[in-house]
Amino acid sequence: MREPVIQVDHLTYTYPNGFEALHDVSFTIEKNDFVAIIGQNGAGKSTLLKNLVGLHKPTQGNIIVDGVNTREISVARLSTKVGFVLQNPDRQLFADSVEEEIRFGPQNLKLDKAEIDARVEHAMEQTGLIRLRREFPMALSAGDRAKVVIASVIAMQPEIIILDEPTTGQDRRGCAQIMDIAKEFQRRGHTVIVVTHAMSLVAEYADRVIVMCKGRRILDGPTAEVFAQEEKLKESFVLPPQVTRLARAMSAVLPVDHTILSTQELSGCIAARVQANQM
Amino acid sequence: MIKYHAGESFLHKLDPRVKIIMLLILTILVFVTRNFPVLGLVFLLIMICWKVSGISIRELGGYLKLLVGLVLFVVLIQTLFQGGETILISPIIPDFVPLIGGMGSIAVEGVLFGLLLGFRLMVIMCLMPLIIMTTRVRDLALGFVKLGLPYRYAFMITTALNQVPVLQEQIATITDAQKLRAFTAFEDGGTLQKLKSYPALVVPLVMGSMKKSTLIGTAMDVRSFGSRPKRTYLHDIAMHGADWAFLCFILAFCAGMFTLNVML
Amino acid sequence: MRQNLTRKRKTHFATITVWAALMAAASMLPSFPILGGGGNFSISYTLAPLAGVMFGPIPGGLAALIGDFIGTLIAPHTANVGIFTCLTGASNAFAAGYLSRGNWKPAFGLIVLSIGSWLLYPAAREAWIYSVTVWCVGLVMALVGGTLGVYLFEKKRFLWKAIGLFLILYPCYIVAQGINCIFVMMLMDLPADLLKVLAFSVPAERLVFSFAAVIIGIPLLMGLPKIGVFVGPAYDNLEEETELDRQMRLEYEENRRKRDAMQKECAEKVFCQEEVRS
Repeated sequence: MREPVIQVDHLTYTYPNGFEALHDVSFTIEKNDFVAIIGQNGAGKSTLLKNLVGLHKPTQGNIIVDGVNTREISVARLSTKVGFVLQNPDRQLFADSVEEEIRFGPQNLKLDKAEIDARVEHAMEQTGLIRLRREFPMALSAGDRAKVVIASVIAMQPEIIILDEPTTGQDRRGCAQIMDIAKEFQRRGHTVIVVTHAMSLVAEYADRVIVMCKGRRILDGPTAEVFAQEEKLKESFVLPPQVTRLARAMSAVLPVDHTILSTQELSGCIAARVQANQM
Repeated sequence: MIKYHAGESFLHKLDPRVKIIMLLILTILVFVTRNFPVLGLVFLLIMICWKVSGISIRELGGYLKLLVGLVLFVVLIQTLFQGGETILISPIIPDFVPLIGGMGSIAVEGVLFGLLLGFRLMVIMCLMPLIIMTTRVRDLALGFVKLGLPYRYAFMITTALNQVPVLQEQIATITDAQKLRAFTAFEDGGTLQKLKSYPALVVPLVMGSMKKSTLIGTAMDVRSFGSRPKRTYLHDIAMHGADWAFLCFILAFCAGMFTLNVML
Repeated sequence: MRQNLTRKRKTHFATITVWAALMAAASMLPSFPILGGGGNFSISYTLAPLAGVMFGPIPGGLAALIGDFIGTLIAPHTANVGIFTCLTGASNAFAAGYLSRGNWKPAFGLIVLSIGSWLLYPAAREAWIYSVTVWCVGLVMALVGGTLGVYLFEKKRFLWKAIGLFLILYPCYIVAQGINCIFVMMLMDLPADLLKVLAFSVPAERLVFSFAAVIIGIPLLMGLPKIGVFVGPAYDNLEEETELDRQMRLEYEENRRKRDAMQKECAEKVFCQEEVRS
């Protein structure tokens, strides 16, 4: 068992106006996990993320991030452990160049110049922004702006990175680039948490899925297992990826003993079945 | 933020033009008044309006605390610097201090004058929220249009007012976004650090808003905004008997107060 | 109407509206107390002159007027002279609009007007030091801002641009202070002793405001054109009609005249037919 990096223990969060957004949520995320949190609008996903990064403090329960209780640490200090990429990148871009924008976070940590330069170079390399280093961030395309924000978070070198709907407004190429960056982050030994409505991306990238519904955690497990429980998913108005549903609809002619998550898997099953019939 | 509170009171139903005229004329009256009885009567009228509106003055919330603080500040400043004949406390700043030496005597006249000015400020600041809390934004704009303001400027007022909560939410998001990059100077820093931190807060806000404004502009253009000089209004306002009566009352009240002010 | 979409467009009416909303929203941000006449310094105070620099004196003044007007309604604690507080921002933007375009006369004239109303009060005459440190310096800075300030502001280098903008904005804040003082003296009748103290704090505060406006203004003035929002004195001539635009406009107006005439004719025919039937 890998070491836990996030432990959410009976978390309940109620907004100041009395609305209970999260009720008794508990789960553990281990190091090097790639977790997708899914659910309908208003399920409590964003509230959960804000609790994880310390923007909200739990009304009841505790959250331990990398060994530290979020109640006992400021947002600024917690940002060195968990990086949060907001849904709308324009909400934080203000510098004159991409390089300055990425430099901003490490400068706030009062690191020395050599360390900052190294982190900035590494972040730009990881996100493919080297050639855009002198460009004005706000004038870049939507995909590149999202990458600038991800790079600025990577430069803080957190153990965990959380992306809140990173593929909103992105074309297919932009989605793939962003999710590839996240996957690479995981491959380098870090933990990734993604909130998204794109089930095909969840199927392709996530190892584990947590399903939220009306402030509660209703499903949690490996991606294939979660997507196999279609009836439960309907509670949260979530549908498995199209290819999974297609495979299930074809189960009479194409019986499989596992949940199909990609078109390659489905085409492989069909090819095998056709071959078996021919023989 | 002070905003509209729904209701069915006389003040809510009052024509917005009457409320705008009342706001202007009472503000001018307060500006020219220099005595307690007149101010007291104006304040009484405003408090009666608050009562009639059915909105508790406690709805003003944090604004009330700021108002009280501001009024006390004005009273204190006037008390310390106004001076007078009946000295209560001798000069607070010693004579030998250059330029401001000998200042800071607290006299009865100074205290009374400070209280007068504080009262004036309080009257003005109790009047303005009353109007905004009893008038819908669209009615306020329509009131301005009916009083002669070109529609595009009234549209600016309503659009800007409607954008304010959106922008406030963006400010909160931007503040959070920068905090997530370990940037907290605009909360924790000293005055200079706060000033230097404002670009990180203001630039994303302004850039994002200006970008959005070009889209709003396109949306206005494709719906022919301003293409014709005359416009059809979905909602309209009209003066009724009660509105005229209240307007006459306000004008008569102000005329009476002006006269009383001169006499006293 | 067909439009030449390749033409750089100058600021739309909606942009000015959104700027007014920004000023109103900014009036609710954390603020610092100021001594010159009461009230608080909020970030909207830096956005007012920038409206003038960006959009020009009249649109900028309008944006600041409406922004401050809404600000006085939703955050009345910032309105130290009631509903007339909006004139402070408007005069600031108006002066900044002209000064940033090399015309120092409006700013100069407004300060002279303020001095005129100022000297009506005995306390103001007694506290002559205030007139020297605030008004006289303001007059000098209006001349400097409208000449040297504009020259430096047009430079490409960040530092010169910033210094130029600072020289432009400082007298605009004095203009705003002047208009504000007209109402402050009517409302609060500040005593001479206090004015002697304010004679030093007011210029210092205006320096701080100008500095704050510069550190926000320069990134905005340099960044907004890069995202397609063409603001600032450098883009004032964008509205010059090209030949293509002129042809499109004439075509549109001709079509509209024909359509209106046709509609009128149809309406008359229907009216006549109804009359015949009745």
